[in-house]
Amino acid sequence: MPEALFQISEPGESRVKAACAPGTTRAIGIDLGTTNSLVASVKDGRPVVLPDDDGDAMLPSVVHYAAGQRGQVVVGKAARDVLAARFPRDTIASVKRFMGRGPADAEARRKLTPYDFAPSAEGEPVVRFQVADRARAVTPVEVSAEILRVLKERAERQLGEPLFGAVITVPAYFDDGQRQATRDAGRIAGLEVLRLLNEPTAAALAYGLDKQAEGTFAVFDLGGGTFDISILKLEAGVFEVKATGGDSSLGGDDFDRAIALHLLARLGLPEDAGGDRGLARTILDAARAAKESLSAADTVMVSVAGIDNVAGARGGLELSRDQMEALVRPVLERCAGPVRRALRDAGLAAAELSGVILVGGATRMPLVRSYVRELFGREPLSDIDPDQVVALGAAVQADVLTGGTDHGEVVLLDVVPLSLGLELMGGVVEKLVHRNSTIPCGATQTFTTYADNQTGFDLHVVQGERELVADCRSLARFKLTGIPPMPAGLARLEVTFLVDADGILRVTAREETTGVEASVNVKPSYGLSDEEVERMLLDSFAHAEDDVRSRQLTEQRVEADRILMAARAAMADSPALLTAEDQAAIDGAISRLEQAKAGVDHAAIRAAIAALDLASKDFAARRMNRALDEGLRGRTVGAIEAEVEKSTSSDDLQTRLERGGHAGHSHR
Amino acid sequence: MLNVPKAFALDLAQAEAHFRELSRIVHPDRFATSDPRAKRFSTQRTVQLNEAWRTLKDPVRRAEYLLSQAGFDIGAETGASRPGNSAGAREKIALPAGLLARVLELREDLADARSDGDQARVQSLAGQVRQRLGETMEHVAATFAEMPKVPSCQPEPTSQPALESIAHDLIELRYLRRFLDEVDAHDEAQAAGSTHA
Repeated sequence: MPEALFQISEPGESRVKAACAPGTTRAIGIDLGTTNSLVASVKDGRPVVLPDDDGDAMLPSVVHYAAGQRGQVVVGKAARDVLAARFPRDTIASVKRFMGRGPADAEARRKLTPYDFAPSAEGEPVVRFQVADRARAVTPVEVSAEILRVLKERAERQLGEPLFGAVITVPAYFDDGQRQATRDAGRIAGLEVLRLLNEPTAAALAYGLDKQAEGTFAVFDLGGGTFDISILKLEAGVFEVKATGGDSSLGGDDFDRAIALHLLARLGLPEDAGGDRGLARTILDAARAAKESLSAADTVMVSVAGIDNVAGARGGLELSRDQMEALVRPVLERCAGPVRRALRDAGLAAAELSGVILVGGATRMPLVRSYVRELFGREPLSDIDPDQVVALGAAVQADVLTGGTDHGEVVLLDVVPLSLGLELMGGVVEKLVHRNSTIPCGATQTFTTYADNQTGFDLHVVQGERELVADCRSLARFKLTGIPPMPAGLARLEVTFLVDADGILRVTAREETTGVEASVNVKPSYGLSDEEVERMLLDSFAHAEDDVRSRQLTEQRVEADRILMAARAAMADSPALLTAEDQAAIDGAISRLEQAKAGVDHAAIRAAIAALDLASKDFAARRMNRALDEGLRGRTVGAIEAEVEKSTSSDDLQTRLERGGHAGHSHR
Repeated sequence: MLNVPKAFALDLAQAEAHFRELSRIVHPDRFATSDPRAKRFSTQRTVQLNEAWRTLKDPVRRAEYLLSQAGFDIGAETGASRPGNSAGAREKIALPAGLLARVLELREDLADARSDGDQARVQSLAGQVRQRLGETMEHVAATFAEMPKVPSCQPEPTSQPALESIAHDLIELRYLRRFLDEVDAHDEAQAAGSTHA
């Protein structure tokens, strides 16, 4: 933690070491994968994966819910190897593919599935799995939180101290809803999510630091459930994503499925395995095992437990590598479109790349490697274990964010994977933020009324590349009301989009003539409400309410200490920038916060923190500007900076964002 | 902000280096453990920085920005306007002569070629448009180069024709780009179709 507000390091000068309570700077990186998850941390300046007590780094992303309301939850190998076949309905694998998805999404409507979905009420946005022998219905977010919790406990045990926070990776091509769902899962697992990091970017970070690579690289990331392609420029510690693309439901699971369908056909069984969930699970597992064996062997005998007696299957089915590759190839070829588009968006030809980095378990298949060679016309790189590279990169980023070790000069410039826009009359999309814009980014656009005496605006926020709303993903709907009646076209509605460094969107709308305002942290239509997340958070502690309250109190006190320390340090550091009025206001706010902190009401402490924040607003702004000026000194930029300040568009944007920030803050 | 002169011809490599340098200073990664206000400031500044660089690195957006600085507003999809008289009314700049007809014809050709499944024709149309786009871009650059300096808010009467010519070029570029986007979308649909088959 910095010892002053707005710690800004000069280029070439190492970041001032954080002043913090001992034992709270540990941050971890988590690769929350479709098939396996890993946790890593930086030790002695190098990222290392943290294995479990058996020495295994990979935790299978499989969660079993034993029967009963309070039944035991088993995560990992036991769930995958033993429980999945016995209790297919109560054992969730590849939950990542359901993150941020609704019951109407393709993933929840597959024929060959071992799961039971809870009947969803009309318009209910979230998928729920019926588990624990139908005693519970859990959302994908809760299932993911179980995986995260195991990794968190593993890290705490290994590091021997509580964690400060975590960086969790997501596929670059995850949309807003999927990102929100991942962040919520982190919160429910009791993790402070410092940043959501795109998986290919994490991999590039691990490569860039370990191999000292410079140049423009493509990261080809094919995991269990998602495909990502990112083009990055690595130069002097700046990792700039030029373009990204992918398919958030394309991965090794789809290979398994293609093989499983082939096996079912050869066994003379229907595509949905006759609705037999145990068989569905078994056949999918057999397909995965066959695929993995065929990376080395030329042929395998696939034996499917329980159906060896089916005619023609005695002793197993023979499957050759050629046969398997013929089944998988059409699925793999779906990678070509996103690759082409990403290269075009980056303005590059494949030949101009310095290298292609392989990430994800599926890239160990010989077929995938030869396909990548075909696509890019070069031998891909896989010096770092493709299963671990994402977690290692996430650990580095966690370390950078907490100001640790000597990676301090690294900055990641990531992008928005999909365009963000608003629905206009006639179901047409107006894009405000275009795909591959560097984040954080913002955009403001003015709209007007189309009917006389219209007193409200319905805003529908969508994400996607298509022109029509129906072809894009719906993120949120909200309403701005209270506009006085006036003739059509007179009201001026100004809508601001702000995408933060996690790639998550906030939308602010304001009617200019009246100043009526509305702001939403876009909660995806397919997501969970804040209340639900809060409730799950509480549930997950499985403690009495008092425990929760005391935890909130402790948290707020720690936060108060941090803010107080920062405020005092800032005042001591820059007395010249402090006006008498500011000084009085800040001093008052400090003593009120001290008072609140001595009490037991966490809400009062939170309010006092917000008050201090507000009181120090102008002072903080001056400090920030001075720090920037100093950072720019020697480069005649002052004048240009002033010019930009004057330019109405960016000025507008800044005030807009500032206002949005306030609205967002008071909401919390 | 990016330490570049207010001109169309730029040293982009230098500007990019500067963009990276500034990103390093203000990026929210630097403030992940700071208080909410510092984070907010950092985010705002980075948003501005990213916007500045996005505008600068693309020649069309750069030209639009320079024109807007001279009082020409090309915000609307279909046309441009220039600053009006003292009454403040903005006067519409007429669409360049023949542009609409040319664009409509191109679009019809594209639609025909697509419905006939004539890939070669689609590609040759795209080629034509790309060439035209290149020429128009060069014309913009040349017109800017002839101007003594890019005028700010109150342009001198002598630079009006040049600015108007650039405005016309930019409107045309916008249509040409849209056309190429459509071709790209078509290519992608084609590629997806052939993979599924």
